[in-house]
Amino acid sequence: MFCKVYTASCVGIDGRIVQVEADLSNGLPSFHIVGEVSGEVRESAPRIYTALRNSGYGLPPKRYVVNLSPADFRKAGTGFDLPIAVALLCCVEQMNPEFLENSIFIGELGLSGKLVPVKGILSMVSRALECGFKQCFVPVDNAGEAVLIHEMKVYGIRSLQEMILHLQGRKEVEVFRQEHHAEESVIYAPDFGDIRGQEMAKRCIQISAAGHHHLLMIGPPGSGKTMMAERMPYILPPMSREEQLMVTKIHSAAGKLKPGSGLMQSRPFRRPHHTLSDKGMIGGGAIPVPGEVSLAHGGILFLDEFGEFSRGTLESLREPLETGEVFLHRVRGDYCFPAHPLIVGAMNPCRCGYYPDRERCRCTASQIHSYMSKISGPVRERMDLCVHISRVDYRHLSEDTVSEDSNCMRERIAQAYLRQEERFKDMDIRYNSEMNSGMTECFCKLDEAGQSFMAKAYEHYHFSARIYQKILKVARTISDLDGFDQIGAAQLAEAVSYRLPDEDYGGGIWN
Amino acid sequence: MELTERECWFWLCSRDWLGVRSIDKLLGYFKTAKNIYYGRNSQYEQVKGISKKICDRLCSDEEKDEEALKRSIDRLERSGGRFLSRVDDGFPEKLKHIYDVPAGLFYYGRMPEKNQPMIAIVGAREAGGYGLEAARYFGRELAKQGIGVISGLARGIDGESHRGALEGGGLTWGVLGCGLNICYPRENYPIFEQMKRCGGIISEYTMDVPPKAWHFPMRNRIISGLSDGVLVIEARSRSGSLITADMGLEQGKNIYALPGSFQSSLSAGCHELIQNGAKLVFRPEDILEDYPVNLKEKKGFDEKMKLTLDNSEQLVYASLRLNPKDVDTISADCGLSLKETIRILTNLELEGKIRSMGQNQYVVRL
Repeated sequence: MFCKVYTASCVGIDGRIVQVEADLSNGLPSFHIVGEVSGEVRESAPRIYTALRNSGYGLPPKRYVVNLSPADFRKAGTGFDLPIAVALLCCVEQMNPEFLENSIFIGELGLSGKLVPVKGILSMVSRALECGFKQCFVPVDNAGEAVLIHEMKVYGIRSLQEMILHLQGRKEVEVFRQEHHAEESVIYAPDFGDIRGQEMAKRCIQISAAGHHHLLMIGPPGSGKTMMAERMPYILPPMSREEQLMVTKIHSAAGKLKPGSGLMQSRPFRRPHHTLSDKGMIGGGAIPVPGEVSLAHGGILFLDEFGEFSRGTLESLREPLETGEVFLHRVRGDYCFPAHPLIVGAMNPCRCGYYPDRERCRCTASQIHSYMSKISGPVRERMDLCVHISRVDYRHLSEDTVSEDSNCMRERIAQAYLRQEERFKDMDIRYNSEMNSGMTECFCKLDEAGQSFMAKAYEHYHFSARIYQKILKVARTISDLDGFDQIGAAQLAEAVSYRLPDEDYGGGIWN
Repeated sequence: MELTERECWFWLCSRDWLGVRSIDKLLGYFKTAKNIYYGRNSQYEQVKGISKKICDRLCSDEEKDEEALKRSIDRLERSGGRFLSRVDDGFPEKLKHIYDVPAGLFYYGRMPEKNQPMIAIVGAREAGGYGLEAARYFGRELAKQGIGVISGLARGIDGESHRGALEGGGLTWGVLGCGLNICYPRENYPIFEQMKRCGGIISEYTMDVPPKAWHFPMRNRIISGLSDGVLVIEARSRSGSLITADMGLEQGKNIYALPGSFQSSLSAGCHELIQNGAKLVFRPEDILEDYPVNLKEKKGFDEKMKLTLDNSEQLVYASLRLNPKDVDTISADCGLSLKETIRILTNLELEGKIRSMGQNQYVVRL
């Protein structure tokens, strides 16, 4: 007797439909799983066998062969237990419920027959929908994630026994409904109102958030760089549903979603340690899982101690920063992960951390220079903004004045988003920072005052053409933030003051 | 063909393993450089206080390669450099009376005139905004009045005082602690080139000698020796600049010190000097009055501030000092909005009235 059910597997962050064929015949009792399977799938045979027995269903001693097809890609992951068990049952019982044809089964089994959640459900279910499947059976802990695909009928299964009863038609499992608990409602989000002083840094952070300009913060230890970066996700406007789905998909594929959680609504904030490897940054593994830069997609990738990251790790950011995607090449195929986070780097100004306070900092000019040059030119070129954060003095700390809170900032940034949306509606970019040189020319026209200012600044600071373009883009964002259509000299002056430290940083050359 | 006396001096001075004291001892025995060159091993060994190692090198054929010597003389001359031994005419009179008179000097440009008043400006390499601005200001003002500014072409105070002197259109000399053709640190290359024309570059070491730590105290005796007075700007206590001042004192020069804030550890060395009797200097006239220069018409720095600035620019400019101040503080002090402050600061920087030190930190320019 032969039987076929469908399941899905998650490869990278994409789902793929897999057929599970089971066959039993007379002969010496044996159990084979074939079809380019990885170790963890091959191991599932005794697990399934035991789980079935513990659910009150002993398999008769026969010769079983299970085939996973298509056989041309490697099936890894643990979601195949349930479909194999179902296929075997149908074989043995000689039943073939109609719904098998348009159903997807995913889930891992415990020895007791209990279903264990698996990674990447969202990708698998959305793929299944595209392939025309109507319903899916998933572990109950994953059901909240699966119902995000509204058109799919989702059954959350608790145990194998429940599944067996459902198959036999003796007791139907109810279709899973998402109870409306306040999904990840933000009880306490860190607020910019908590930060005293640091007006320039706050301003710069708003500009960075509004135009998606990657930001570098330089400041002595304990000046609040981390505090401010942590607050950044909450001043960005909420994500659209497509963005939320994509972010959830990535986190699901990487196994970072909490069991039972649904759609990710707040923007991700990733803060990897500086010993992170390049594989950890962009994603790695024989079948790659998304790395930090993809996990931070749509949110903030905060790189504390920017200069301490290994060169390879920082350099690996170059392509994603350019294209917003990570391409990984493996023997068994190429993988593409979206990777468009807002990168916020934070570093000390020098090795001891106190430059330009020469009372405390005794680093030599060449030491400061070599500390700064830990960030290679190409990476530096991709950062648009730089702000120095100084130690807050007591006067500011003890003042009672209320500083602007995150809500005000978010509204202003949302306005800037709207202006950008309007500007780029016919183009495939969304933010000012993504403009190419043609667009910059078109959207960043300068009036006479602005032109004469830029001419002066260009000579005085020895700008390169690239820096000039960056300044125009930043000035565009500042104008959007302030609600001006025309870039004025004031906006340009502000943009100039946020440029990155140049060669003579550290007191080397003073001309 | 036998070498001339002058070539022998060149040979003697371009042995970087042969210090001034060893040369003095050799001269004491042989009397002339030529005799040293053509000396025999047995003679070298009779000289008191010359180590075996030096004797061996002195008589090795490798060291006495006449072709190589001619080549290096030729190379120096083609690069525009010159050589003066201590017995030559034109060797600075002032240097003949110091302890450890250099055996010879290599130089670009020219040597200071005999009656040219000279002030050495020395100080910390890692100086603060206050010291850097002060060095530039004093260098400029002294040079304008016809005083030669001499320093060590290092980072920080040294480099700034040379820059100041060049800005003031005066003459300035740099004394190196390495070979004449090596510009160390690299970022001083532009002024290095300029100084060849407006003053000179002087070194005790021949071409290609790398900078070594012990060269620098040795070079300091030339800096103080060539000067008539030593101005110390931003020196920490027990720092190298104080050694220069001490040498100057031994050589009978005037010592000047620029005070800083009493809290500033960067100026602690200067304060110690003042306590010990150095002249406190707070304006260029304090130095000028000690030398026979005709004061040319001079603008005080108060007058310079009457610039064509509008009100808020005046306000921001006035709130700045020589210690770095960050934008937040400036905007709080002036009561201006952040955007306005940033705009004004950038404009002032473009005008050259202020300069940024580090990111978003500003100091005034004198």
